[in-house]
Amino acid sequence: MRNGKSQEKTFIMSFKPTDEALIAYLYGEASAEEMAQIAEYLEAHPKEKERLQALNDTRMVLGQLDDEPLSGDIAIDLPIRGKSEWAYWRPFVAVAASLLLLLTFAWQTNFGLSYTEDGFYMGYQEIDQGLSTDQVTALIQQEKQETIDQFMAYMREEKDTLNQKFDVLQASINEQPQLIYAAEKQALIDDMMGLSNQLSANYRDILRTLVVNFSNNFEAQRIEDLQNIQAAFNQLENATIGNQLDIEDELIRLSDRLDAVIASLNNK
Amino acid sequence: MPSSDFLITAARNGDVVAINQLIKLWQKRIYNFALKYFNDHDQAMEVTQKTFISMNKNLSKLKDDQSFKPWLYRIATNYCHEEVRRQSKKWVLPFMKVHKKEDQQHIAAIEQVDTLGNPESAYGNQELKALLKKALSTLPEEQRLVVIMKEYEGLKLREIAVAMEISENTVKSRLYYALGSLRQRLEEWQITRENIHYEL
Repeated sequence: MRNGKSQEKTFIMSFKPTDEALIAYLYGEASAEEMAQIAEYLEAHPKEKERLQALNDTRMVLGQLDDEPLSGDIAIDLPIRGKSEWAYWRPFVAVAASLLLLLTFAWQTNFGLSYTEDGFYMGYQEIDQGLSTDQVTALIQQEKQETIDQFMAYMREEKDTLNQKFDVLQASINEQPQLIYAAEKQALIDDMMGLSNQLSANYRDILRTLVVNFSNNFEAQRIEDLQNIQAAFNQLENATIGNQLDIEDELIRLSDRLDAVIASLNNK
Repeated sequence: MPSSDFLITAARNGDVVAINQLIKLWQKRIYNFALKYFNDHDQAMEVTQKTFISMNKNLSKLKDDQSFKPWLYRIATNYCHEEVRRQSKKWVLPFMKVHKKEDQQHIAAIEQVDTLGNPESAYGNQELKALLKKALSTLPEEQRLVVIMKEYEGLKLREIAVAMEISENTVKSRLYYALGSLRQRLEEWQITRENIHYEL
């Protein structure tokens, strides 16, 4: 037993809770076992108990600071859930995007704004100021003259080309009409000869065809006629043979009747 | 602490009435939390409004209704940090702002009385509150947050750890040093449990 108590005493002496464990004990949030151990320890260590009590007293003093009342409900503008923040910012982004587009367009097209003592100017391309009416008129005249000169030069060039072509044509007509006539004539004759040959060849072909057809028809007809004649002879022959047989039969009958008559005469 | 489990579930499903009820239930708590932290009404209101706007926006992401309380305080804590950063960029230190003349006189008078070493001197309510606010303001930010959450908002050590995204041991450690600092500070001002209007 004495050993048990000294062991227990040794255990108590060896156990020293950490500051964290003391805080958990102070707020009653340690486990039951820890609470018991720390309680025993504090009983055995009055100074530690006093120190912890001082912290607890501090808590009591802090508890004197009450809550401040809140005058009315806090006004909170709750955004609609499900509606993204993007929906809120969309109109502003749209305006900013439109402005950016306008600025980009203006920059690309050299749209410019200018304010001088003469007034406010805006427009596309570089704004030129300061040209007087006479200068503008002179510029227009110059432009017009240049256009006319270009046109005239073009017309002259075209005229030269046309004249050249007419000359060539005239020369060809004047210098060699006979040759042209002869060539044309020969060409015509050649064409006619060709046509004639073509026709002749065609006629020969036609005649040849006719003769061949006639020959073929004639032969066929001859054969048919021969066949008819043969058939007629056959018929005649058959008829003749038939008659001949009939006649022979009659002769036989006659012969027999004659023999019978003779016989009868003999008997008489 | 307000009980709001069924409201949380309804609010997560988009019930606007439930959301407004939640705000009504918790606005005083968050406001006082921020007020004790900043000791400034405007900053406390700013943080409170932002907290509930964020709550409305992110409530669907809350996985467990039971963790609503530390989750809400985490949002408020983050906005407190943000507000401090914002103020520091303006070269305004919120806890060194000039107090009103009356407050200064109160504090000075009390501190003078204390130096006479009269343990029986009693403190008026307003003077005591002013001193307690000042004492809190002397704590480092992280210790101050832990003390406010534990002593005034009633969060458990585990909940504070979740709200501040630190370990429980860190919470306990900060509390230990914060209470020690506060005890020392209050003892300097001779503010003890015995000499305040306090009934056991």
